Amino acid sequence: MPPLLDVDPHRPPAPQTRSAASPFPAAAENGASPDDPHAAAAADDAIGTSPEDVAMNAYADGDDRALNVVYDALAPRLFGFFLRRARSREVAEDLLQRTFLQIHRHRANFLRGAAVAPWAFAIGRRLFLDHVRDRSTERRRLGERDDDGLEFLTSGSDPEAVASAREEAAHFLKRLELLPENQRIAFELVRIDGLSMAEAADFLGATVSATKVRCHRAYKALGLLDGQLRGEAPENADSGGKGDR
Amino acid sequence: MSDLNDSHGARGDTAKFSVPLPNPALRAALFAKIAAEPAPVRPTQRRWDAAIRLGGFLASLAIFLIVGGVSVGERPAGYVAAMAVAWGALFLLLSRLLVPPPGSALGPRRATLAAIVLGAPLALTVLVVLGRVLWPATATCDGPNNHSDRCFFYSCLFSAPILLAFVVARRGTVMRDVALHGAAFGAIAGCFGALLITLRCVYAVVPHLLVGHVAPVILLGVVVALLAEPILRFRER
Repeated sequence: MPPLLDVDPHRPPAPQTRSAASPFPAAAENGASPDDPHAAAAADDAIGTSPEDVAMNAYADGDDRALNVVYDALAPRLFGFFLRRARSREVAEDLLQRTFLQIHRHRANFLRGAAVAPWAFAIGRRLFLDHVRDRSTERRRLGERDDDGLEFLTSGSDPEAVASAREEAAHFLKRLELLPENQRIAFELVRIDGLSMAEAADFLGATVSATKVRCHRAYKALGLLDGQLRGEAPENADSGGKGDR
Repeated sequence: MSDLNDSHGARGDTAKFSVPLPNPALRAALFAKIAAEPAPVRPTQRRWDAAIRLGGFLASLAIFLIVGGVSVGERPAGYVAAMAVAWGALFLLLSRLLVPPPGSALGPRRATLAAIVLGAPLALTVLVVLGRVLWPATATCDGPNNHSDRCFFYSCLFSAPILLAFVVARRGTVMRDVALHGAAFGAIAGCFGALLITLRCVYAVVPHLLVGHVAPVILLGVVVALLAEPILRFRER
């Protein structure tokens, strides 16, 4: 059984272009080459210097055209973020639109030199929580988590392969949910939503090192370090992230 | 998750994990909506924030002067000067810690906020005890039974405008931990109130200082932390 995720935990997310085949709106748009560990490490710790960060700064200062760059960089990632949680395209699009409206209305509060991704994801997360609270959908969402909604994760012409991919996706998501929350969120932010380590650390309010540790533990728990995924439960699912800061 | 699809080529190209991109029509609709709705820009907001903070600071000072301003009483002048400098320095240090680290728009880390909240009353207590040790004569600077209540009240009164300025400037913005932010605002505003009341109050015994000058810092931190969610949290505009 090949590993579901072809990832080296010590390597930052690889630069990636979006295509119909890309998995989650994964990201790693930090510009670091996976072959250059020094550049990768620097990019991992750098924050507030990406094109979207520069564009957001210009937008906050009143350059309305800069929103195009911010939208192009963040919309696919935020859309994936919402889609994975809401399991509904309609809701995800609504939340995406509301998030960008809030980015627009709150742009004056964006601090100079800050990274836009953690800020935008924090707004998105807040809106999603409000959405869940307002519509009392949390219980229903949890109850429908098994396979429902996974069709958006899979595509293809071979029904057997699609079914297998969906099964694998469901299995992976189940294992992901078994992780302690701090590890799961760190893993999702870095490997699925495409934030750099520094951006994820900013979102989480933790240090970069602590975020790396959480990701590493998530990898370990998911069996990604040795290429194993199926079979066993995450080894530290009950540990509550002991030792994490 | 650099790639879920091509892991060792196992999936081939017939089945993919994929997330569709948002509808292109959404972009057009969103940009049209945004274009029709002017939003404030940062330079204007910065001026407004600076005015609010200055207003809070001046209002605190005005209340302090109306109440009577500086009063040394029987306390040693060196003690009063040293306390003013130390408590003022603490206020400035804690205010500086509230500035987000470079690159972050979400505010200081939780550990920094917790350090502000816990460190403010702790540092003030240490300074109170240190003052008593360095100036033993302060042991006789005591007053009537209810004098701590009055200082407690005035300390809260002096803190209120600064606290209000913090809240007005930051309410509704995106913060990492609203309750901790609120507690930090309360503690820092309380520190400023404690500084002013220390300049005003002529009593210097340790129990009085702890109840009348330091306890308001804790009270404000707790109260604002409890009220933070409804008052400060991010709201859709």
